[in-house]
Amino acid sequence: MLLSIKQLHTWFKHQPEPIKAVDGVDFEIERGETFCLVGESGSGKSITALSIMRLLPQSGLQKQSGQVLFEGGNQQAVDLTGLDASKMRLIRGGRIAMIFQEPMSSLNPVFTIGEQILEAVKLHFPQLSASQAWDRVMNALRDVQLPDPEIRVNSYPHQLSGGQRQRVMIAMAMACEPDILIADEPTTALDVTVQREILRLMKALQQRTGMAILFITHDFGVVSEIADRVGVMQKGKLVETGTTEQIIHKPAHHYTQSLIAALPENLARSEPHQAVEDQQPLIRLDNLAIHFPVRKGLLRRVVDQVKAVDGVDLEIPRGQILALVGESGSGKTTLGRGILRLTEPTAGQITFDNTDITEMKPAQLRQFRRNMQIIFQDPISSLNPRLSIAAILTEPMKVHGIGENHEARIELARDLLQQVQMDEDALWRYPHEFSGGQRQRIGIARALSLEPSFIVCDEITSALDVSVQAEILKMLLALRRQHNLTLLFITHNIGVVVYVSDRTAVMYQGQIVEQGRTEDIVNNPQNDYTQQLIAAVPRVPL
Amino acid sequence: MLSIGGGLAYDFVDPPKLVIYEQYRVAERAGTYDWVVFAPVPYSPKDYQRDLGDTGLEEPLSQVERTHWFGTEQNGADVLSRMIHASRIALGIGFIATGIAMAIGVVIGGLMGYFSGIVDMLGMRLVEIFEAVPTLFLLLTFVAFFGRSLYIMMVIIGITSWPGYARYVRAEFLRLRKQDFVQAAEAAGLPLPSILFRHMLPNGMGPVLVAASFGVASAILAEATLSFLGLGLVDDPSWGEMLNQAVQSSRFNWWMAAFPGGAIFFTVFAYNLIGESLRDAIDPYLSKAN
Repeated sequence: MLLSIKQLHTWFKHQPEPIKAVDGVDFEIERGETFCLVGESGSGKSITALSIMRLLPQSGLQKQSGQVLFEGGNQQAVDLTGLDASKMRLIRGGRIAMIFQEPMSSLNPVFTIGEQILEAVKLHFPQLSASQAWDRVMNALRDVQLPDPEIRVNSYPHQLSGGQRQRVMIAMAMACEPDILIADEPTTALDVTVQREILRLMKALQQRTGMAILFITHDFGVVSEIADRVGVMQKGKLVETGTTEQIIHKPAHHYTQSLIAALPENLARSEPHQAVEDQQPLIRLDNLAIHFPVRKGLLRRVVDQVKAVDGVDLEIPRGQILALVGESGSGKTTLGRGILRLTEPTAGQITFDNTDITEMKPAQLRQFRRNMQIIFQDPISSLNPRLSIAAILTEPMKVHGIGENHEARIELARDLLQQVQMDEDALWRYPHEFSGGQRQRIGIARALSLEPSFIVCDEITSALDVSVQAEILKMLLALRRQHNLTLLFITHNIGVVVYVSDRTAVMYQGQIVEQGRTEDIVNNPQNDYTQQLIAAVPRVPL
Repeated sequence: MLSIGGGLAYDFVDPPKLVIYEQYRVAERAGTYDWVVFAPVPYSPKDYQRDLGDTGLEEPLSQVERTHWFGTEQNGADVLSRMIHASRIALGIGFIATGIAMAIGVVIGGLMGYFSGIVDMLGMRLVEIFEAVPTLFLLLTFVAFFGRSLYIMMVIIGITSWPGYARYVRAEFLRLRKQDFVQAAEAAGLPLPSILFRHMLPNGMGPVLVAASFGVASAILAEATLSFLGLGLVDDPSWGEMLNQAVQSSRFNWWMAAFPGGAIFFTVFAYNLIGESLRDAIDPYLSKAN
């Protein structure tokens, strides 16, 4: 057994009770296998990995116990928890390598990538000559299929894309030929097409070198793509381990069952997709363009334009949910904000309910805003931390003259909270007292407070765990029916698109490359890019 | 704004004119009072004991007959009494000068941060112009031309030190401008003053408050410097002026330097602590433990 973890406990100091981040975890990893740790945020996945590497600051720990038996190289099994610091340093990076979620912040911005890999190589192979070490760096970069490695080796991290940076991280980890690679959500920050390449690369490297991978993720699609065995974590405990097949198709533990059931692919849609009727669209975009000027030099002259949205024609039929899909940087969010004129369009026309709002004056627009609202991705920054929920919900009502007096508006706010399935005593609390899912509900209530007919939902479930995501999506569909809402649902998650939307538009480099009924787009994409995108989505085989 | 500041300053800072200390001391020595507690410092800041034939420059607690806790200065006035009265000037100039600076800085910085573009560009040039004005030399010039007035000092320190606050507020507003809750407020059609002062300002005040605590401290230091240079108020004691007195004497009288110096040090130190705890106290994330 390459790595066996026995009764690992990691408790953090906290008053009055210690936080049991990892609470008695046992698992084993064989040579050459991929073991996936899956769980929702806060379940202790990453802390488990950091505990194995002993990368947690000792001062914050209440209790650290258990055994981490490691049988690297040709040595006897050693217990990493008791190893002295100098020996541990040789194992870290040398025998056990780790890559992290955020490829930008895990590379040092002031050194070239070549220098950073070389440093790791020199540290773990001091016997190599300079040219041998350099060869090793180049080989590592070739192994991870970085394009033009001879040129890129002298690049700084900011000159590479996110996917390339993650390749460099993997190259750095692989240069020392580790026995185990610990990958902590390595593809979460990447686009699906890049994610697919990275996952393939890791598989290929594993087959060649025979290393084991401990892969931490929250995404069951990724799990089913890469894992041999899976461990499901909940609140610091490993509730179930088994082969990928077992976990996904015959989950034994009820928590695993609920997680699998909450995947958007597994949600049963309660209502049929609505057919497009021949009626006036609520929103029509004609050749909409939003360009951001790139200014340079002393006089801040405009030298170039970033074409975030570049000539979009789109119609959103009344009462329908249009999903806007695309990778990061494709202009989805800018388009969503452009429709609401939160970002000023450069050219084109926005027609809302037969009214041209493109040129509307600010005062007039302010009145008009109650018809169109927005819900944001990030539940942390979307609510003003200094206002109570009551103030957040009633202030817009007051401005638009909804409700006769303060009491009436509080009553309306109570009603809104009920609609988003929250307690009414939430009114007197502040945003930081709520979890991400609850905040997102409050965000939805705020959008509904003005009784709008159109809402832009900007990646509203991306920051949430799957089970919370499932609840929010169900609720949103119910509210849509109840209030006859038209939604623009911006997302990159194809599973969510299929569950929630009637129509889909695919965006790529500021343009809509394909649009149509969701079933058609997902099952029978016509455009090259759409085909690539749909194929790259990691799916749980049903 | 300036007139309000001046008015406030006039009410709070001027030392009392009525001198009843002499009567009190005479009566106490004569045993007229049958009180349990007697006034610990029965001297006015301008009770120059040399008028009574004393020499001045007494060390703390060196005399049994007339107790001077912190000693006397060369004119025989009680150091402790002078320090207590001087604290009005120190605190007043700190608060009012910083208040003026903050009010101007928050408004200009807020507008720069929210509107950005051309407003920001013009605002930043204004900030740079004011940052180029040397406060101390301006103060010296004004003192030379218009005489020594505490209120002019407050106003000058106020209108030359706002650029710092404007920069902080601008940076915070530029950050907050793109935050989702500000976008949501805008999407809800809220009026501009509400977005600026209700949604953005409270979230951007943290750095400004910390800067303000340093600002109060540096205003106190500016006044102390001026007084130390002998350009402070003519007749009223201030901590800086007392330090100046300490070095003018032919020999080093430690009590005249240590006590006012310590007072300046601890006041500045306390303001810095206040600034930091104020920032924590108004932060909703820290207000209630989860």
